[in-house]
Amino acid sequence: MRFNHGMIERNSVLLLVLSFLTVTIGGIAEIVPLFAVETTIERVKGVRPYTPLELAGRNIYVREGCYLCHSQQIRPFRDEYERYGHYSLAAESMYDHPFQWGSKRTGPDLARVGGRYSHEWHMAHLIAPRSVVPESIMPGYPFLVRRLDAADIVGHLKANRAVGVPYTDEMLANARADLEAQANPDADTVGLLKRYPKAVVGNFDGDAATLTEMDALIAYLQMLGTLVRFSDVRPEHLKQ
Amino acid sequence: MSLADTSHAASASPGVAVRGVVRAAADEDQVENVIRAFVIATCFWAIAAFAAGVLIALQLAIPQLNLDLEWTTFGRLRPLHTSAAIFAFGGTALIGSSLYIVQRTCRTRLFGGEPAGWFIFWGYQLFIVMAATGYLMGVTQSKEYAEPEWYVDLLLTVVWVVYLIVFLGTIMKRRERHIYVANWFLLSFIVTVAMLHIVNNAAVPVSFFGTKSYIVWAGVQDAMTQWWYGHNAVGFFLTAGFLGMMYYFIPKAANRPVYSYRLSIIHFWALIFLYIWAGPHHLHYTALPDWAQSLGMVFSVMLWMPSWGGMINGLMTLSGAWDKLRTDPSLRFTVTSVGFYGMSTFEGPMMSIKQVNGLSHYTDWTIGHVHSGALGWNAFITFGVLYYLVPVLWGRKEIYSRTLVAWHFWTATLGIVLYITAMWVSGIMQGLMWRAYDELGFLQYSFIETVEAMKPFYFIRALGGVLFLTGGLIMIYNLWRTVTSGEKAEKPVRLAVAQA
Amino acid sequence: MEGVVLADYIPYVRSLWTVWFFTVFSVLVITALLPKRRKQYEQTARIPLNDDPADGDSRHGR
Repeated sequence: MRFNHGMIERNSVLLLVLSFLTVTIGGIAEIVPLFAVETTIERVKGVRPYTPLELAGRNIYVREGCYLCHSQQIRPFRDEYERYGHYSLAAESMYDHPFQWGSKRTGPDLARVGGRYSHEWHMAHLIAPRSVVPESIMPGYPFLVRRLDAADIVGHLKANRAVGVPYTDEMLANARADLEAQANPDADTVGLLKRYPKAVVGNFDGDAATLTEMDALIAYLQMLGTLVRFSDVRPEHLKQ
Repeated sequence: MSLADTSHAASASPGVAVRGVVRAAADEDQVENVIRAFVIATCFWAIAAFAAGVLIALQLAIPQLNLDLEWTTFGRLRPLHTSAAIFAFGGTALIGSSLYIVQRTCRTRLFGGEPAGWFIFWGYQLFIVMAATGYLMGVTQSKEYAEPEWYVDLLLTVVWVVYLIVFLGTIMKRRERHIYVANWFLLSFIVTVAMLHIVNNAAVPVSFFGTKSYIVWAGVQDAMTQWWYGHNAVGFFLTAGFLGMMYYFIPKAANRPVYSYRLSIIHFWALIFLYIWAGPHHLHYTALPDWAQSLGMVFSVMLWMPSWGGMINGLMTLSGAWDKLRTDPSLRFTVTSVGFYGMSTFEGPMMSIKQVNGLSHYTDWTIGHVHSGALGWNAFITFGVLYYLVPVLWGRKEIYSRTLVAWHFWTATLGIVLYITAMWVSGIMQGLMWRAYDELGFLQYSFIETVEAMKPFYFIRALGGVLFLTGGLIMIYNLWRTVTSGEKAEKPVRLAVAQA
Repeated sequence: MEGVVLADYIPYVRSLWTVWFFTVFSVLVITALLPKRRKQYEQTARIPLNDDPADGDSRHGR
């Protein structure tokens, strides 16, 4: 083999290395700066890890592929502000593994859907969307009234901690109790609310006897976009 | 390199005796059984992907088709469709043809031989089936185009590493002095996809016996990682890989070398240097920092140039032989696909401009754009490759029916046109409706009114899908008849072609 | 904190890759355009046309 010309082309290993280096450096330069949290995440207060029930609900949201039709990312446009609320901050999804910003709005954005509708509305809408919104093209999810399988909720919190979500030992120790308490109006929720401020507590699906997937999903929907109080946010907080 | 030396010496004094010597070396059987399996699987996945697409398109028009069952909702079927189209149909076509191309252009048997080939084939098919069944059961990471969970990702990683080794090994033991440009594209596709796949899917499983895992990246970092992956999956899987197909099969079917080999080299480097930066255009106006958004936009617009360079290169290869467009079933599809490639790679950079993106993002326009690429470019070039490969691999003189090829071509083309025009109209309309204000300064339309307005276009889109699916079925019938009742080639077709 | 350290290096990393990126890209493009490669390109471009196993001797020699 001659190396005086066409060396790169004839040397497949060199070709491989060059392609790889090119692409890697591209990736590094794109992604690495984002890991410098100080330059990416706004300094706003209020964002906390998900409660065990919200996390279980989020997992149902993930499982059903809701992100395929609903975004969770409001852009800084006037019409989106009026339709959905303040534009989304990076800080608001800092504990999301994975992110669920979505890329398509077949249905409306859900980034700030929390508190917009009653639990009853969500329940009716999820079971039969066209019973409350006749023109809706959303699938019905009547099967979500089954019992929530959250036997390994502590494992889920631990896995989240392993990827950087600041769940404390106290949160882990109380995970099971917090999970059940959030959907039980009669439970003592003082500890829960101290660990997870602003958690929405209540009987989400109208059935107090069983903890269902519906309870978890509605608990998640009801907290979306509610953690940051925008009346307290000043411009310097928003600098990325 | 002793073999190569022999051949160089041989070519200095061509003659029958010398030809015999060289043949003994070069005639070593290439692995073809595996390629045939890839061809058959490609046909199967084509129908699966198109049918799933038609179903979910109809679900958007007629929501009752979701059946209120957990296994049949749009949310679970949509990843089934995208994965079937990109990874099952596209991936099987790509891997199969890459193994064919690398053996032919390196003039050597596949490194690892049949066992390695079969491992890649069955490993990849297993990956598809595990991923697809998982989606139906609700096992998903919910990262677009990277839905399979951690254990399926691990399987793919193993298969992919073997694929890389086999491909690279074949290149290293080649009998040609130079590496043909198609292999450059294919190699960069294999290497890059490996890296994208591993980085984007890095996750911590909840337990070793469960399916659920949590992605290591969080929020904005996960968004950036995901679209770095997602865009480069388009760039390296659906573009670089398929360009490898273009650079082999168009010259081969036209029986003339590529228009400008020099342009193809520049095309290659420009593409891999520019593509990797373009990802952030999927995240315009989001919480991603502005500098990253601008970077993505600038590089996306720059991408337009090498893309069109490649298109011109593919099209001009036919210059002086345009009549083959009518007579050669394979070229009709491959050349049209290059036209669609040109169209999509113009539309893409345009949509990456922030102001345009502000309108198009979150709407059906994006879906239309993806399909002009996926149907017009990826599927069409694959059809062309299938029309070329089936007669060659099964030793048939030609395709069973050229009339059916024409029927396939026109139904599929009409399907694409209906699809993308419906999505243009509905996408732009929805984008405009979202931002429309009435004379009192209030938002003019509620969200649900914009959903209602989409309905006719969802039906037109579904009709386009039905036409495309019909075309695919016509093709499979035609290929089937070619294999079962086509006239046998007197000599192996490849020899006849080479002497033509 | 680790993040602070990383953030401090970003401007340097970015300038460095810009330089590296354009150097490598320019070298590759210039190499590809060198006129002396014309003959080799012509040969290489013919590989797909001469690649049939039963047609082993049609390769172009030096």
